[in-house]
Amino acid sequence: MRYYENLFIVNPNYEHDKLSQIVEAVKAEITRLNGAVLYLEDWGKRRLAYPIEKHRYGNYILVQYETENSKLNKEVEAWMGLTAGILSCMTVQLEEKPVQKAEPEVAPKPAEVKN
Amino acid sequence: MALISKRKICKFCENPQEKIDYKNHRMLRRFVTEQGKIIPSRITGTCAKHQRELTKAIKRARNIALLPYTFDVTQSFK
Repeated sequence: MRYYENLFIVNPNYEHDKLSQIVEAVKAEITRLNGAVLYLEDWGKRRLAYPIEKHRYGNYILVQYETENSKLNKEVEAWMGLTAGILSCMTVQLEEKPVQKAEPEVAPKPAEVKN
Repeated sequence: MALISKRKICKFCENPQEKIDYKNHRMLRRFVTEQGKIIPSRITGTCAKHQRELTKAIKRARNIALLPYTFDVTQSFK
């Protein structure tokens, strides 16, 4: 089993409905290609470090999935490249099964004070 | 003996909980200059192993626009 993590950027003009449509389409595409979505996180709208297609902001979405198909990551990336609304994407292969809710990325909680 | 500087210790060896992850761009920002260049380990004190991981993470973060490839400092004054 292989574990992948894909971080992609959706057009900032896509709001609630359109955004969730894209997210659903990504999920559907991964399942269609014999993958299973393990974790999905919406980071919300963030400022990009450099403009992409003249957009200064983007909706970041992180998706982690597992699969037996070693070509799936490329297929998903190719599909994302053709999908309107997705500005950019990147896939990283994970060495081990990701621990759920490992990174509270959006709002890091203050460390607990232990006495 | 002002010439002998204190030995710098690798932040990641000191603190094993701190994982090097491309998604944590706030942490990575400490290891790039204002212009977006990667700071050499001889300045930051990072060990060779962790510097390799850092480099990889920074390049990944750049790819997905979490970190800039370059930043023109003069632009911000215009």
